[in-house]
Amino acid sequence: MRLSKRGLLFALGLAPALLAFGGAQAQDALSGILKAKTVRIGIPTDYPPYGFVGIDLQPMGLDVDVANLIGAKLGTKVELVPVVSANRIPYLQTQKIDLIVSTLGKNEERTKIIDFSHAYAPFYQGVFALKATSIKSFDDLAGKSVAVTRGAMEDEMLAKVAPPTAMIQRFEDQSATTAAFAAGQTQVIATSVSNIGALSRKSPNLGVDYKLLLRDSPCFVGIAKGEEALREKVNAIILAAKADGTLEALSQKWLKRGTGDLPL
Amino acid sequence: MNSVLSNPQQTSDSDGPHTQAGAPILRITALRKSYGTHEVLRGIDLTVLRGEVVAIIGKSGSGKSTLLRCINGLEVFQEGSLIVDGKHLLYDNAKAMRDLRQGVGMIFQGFNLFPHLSVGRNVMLAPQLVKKRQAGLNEERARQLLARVGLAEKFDAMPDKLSGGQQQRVAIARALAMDPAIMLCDEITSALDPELVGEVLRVVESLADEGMTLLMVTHEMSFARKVADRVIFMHQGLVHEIGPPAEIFGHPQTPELRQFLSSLRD
Amino acid sequence: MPDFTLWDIFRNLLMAARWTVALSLVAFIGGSVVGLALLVLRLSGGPLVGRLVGAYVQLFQGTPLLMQLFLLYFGMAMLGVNTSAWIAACVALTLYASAYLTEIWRGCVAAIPRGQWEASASLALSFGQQFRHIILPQALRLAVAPTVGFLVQVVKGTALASVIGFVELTKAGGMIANVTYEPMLVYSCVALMYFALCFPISLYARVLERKLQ
Repeated sequence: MRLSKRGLLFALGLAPALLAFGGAQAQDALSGILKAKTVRIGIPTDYPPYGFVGIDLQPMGLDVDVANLIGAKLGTKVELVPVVSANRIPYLQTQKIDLIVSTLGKNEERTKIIDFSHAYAPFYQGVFALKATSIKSFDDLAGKSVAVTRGAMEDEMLAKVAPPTAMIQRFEDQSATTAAFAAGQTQVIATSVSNIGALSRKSPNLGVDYKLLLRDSPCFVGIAKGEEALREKVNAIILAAKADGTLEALSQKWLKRGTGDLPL
Repeated sequence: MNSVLSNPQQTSDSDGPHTQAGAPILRITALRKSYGTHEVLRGIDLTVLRGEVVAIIGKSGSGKSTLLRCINGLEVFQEGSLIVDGKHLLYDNAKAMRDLRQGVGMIFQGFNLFPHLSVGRNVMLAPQLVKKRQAGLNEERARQLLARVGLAEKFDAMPDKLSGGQQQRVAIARALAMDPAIMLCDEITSALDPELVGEVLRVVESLADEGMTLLMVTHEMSFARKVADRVIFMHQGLVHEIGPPAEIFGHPQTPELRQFLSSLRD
Repeated sequence: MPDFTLWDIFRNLLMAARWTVALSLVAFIGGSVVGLALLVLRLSGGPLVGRLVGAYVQLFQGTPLLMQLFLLYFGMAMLGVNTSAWIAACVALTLYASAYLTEIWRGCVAAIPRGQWEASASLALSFGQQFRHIILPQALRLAVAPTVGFLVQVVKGTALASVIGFVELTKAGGMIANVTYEPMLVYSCVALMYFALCFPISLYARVLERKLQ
């Protein structure tokens, strides 16, 4: 049995109430970070090129670089905490991490429970299929099998726009979803553009085409609700990095493309 | 004959009965027991003297085994009183129950030997744990008792290698190792093949000869006739008739007893 | 994108497997201690104690282990109790194992004929003496097979600890599979390692059973 993201958010809807009673610290997060000289940042370890592992299982990727950048600008050490879609918000809410830098997209539902910084990197989610498969609109998904990663943004978006006869198959993580599509188990895949890029590099003969846009959803840093001081500091760091071209360079390095217009 | 039973004159708090020979060692008054709404014992009055051999007979369901099991606390009764060797039965006091059981030994129809222990260890276990008997003494006594029941050479054997009759004799030796004042025998030959019954009954008879107080629920009428001082016929939870074997077997007073005895002859 | 050789994959999985072993051991030993204590409590306590232990068993048997891990780690943090993933995983798996083990062992004790209890009681043994010298040795032989069967479940159950950030064999496999895009190869290695852990346990159980015969 797997926990759905929605299920988790519901279960933890109690969090604010409980935090009020449970031993919550009097000081704010930023002071806590500066005092401890360490910032704990949740990063992905199974989502290249944003967060993945090297041959010694050391974390690397765009999100990891951004996390290290934040730490450097704050003047503290960085503790990288591997997180996944299903547990990253609970980690933040229970103060086990201070920030989420993990391809976190912003939407209304999430804004109710956490705060967001300015965007720091681009991130498209779309519907892809083989060149031969004709998909001009979401209605064309009727009757087709679609692979998607459970709990990811694509899953949520797809649920809103896919026709009822679309056969959506959910997989536990990136690689499973991609493997299913690459093996021909499904005709269509709903995933991020970065994932397709990696897949194309690995299997150039597959001939995957971009078909539909699910969401243009850049990455934001997640901050615990109400931590204004920390949010302003992170925003300042991001704006500076934007201005001096650091964000652009990171995007080119990892995503082989520019950042485009990053919203605030 | 060399008796392995305790010295009847002992009055200290160590092994052995506190009651003098011939005095009442078991007093049951107005005993009632029910299983839920079904009343199994409907008012039992009985006094057993030290050294007496009492046989209890009756149809199945008459309450014979239940009565026996009340005496050492394996069954709990609701009304009446039970005094064993001068002490009342106190169920909520675990220590009192253990003290009582040191004085009352029981032999079961299914032998109930401990299968993971050798014959010798079966006999030595309780004296070692409960009476804290010293190891050397304990082993010597165990060998003595096994010889007494004719199984000296089986000291190191495992129970599953013995016949039913041999297992039951080990069970008797095991119970005797605690130096009880009373021995309760609950249909101890009913599960045995006929040719093995004799060897067990011979041991029981020798116990009776040595002055052990015995209460036996039995179907072996000829044995009861020969060995018992009194026979109790139970019927529907009550002592229906009681008397010496000659009277009970020879001159049954009530139709129920007559019917029971005739049914045995068929 | 880093290039993983087969050896890279293998050695990283092996390192992570250490944690699987460690967590399994803690869960099994801890679970056995707690499970045995609960068993004795249940056997010697009154009906109320029996019901409480029964409720405890129902709680852990009736909810998913994944949820227990999650609630212990994040739920406790919400109440102000901050634990590391390792501690939370150890505690959750210990409690989980204890519930199953106590129930398994209760069944084994119940299988011992009543006559054994009655004979030992008639010999004036206390409950503790009955349990230790008569019942436990006999129940032990019956308990070997189902206990070891459950130990194998615990080993596989450690895979769920990844939801609270614990990096054991399965999680490491996931990370490597996602970066190498070779899920078949990586997960086959993971499966092989789980088998290498579980199979000897099953074999040893058979040896034990024969020895206790």
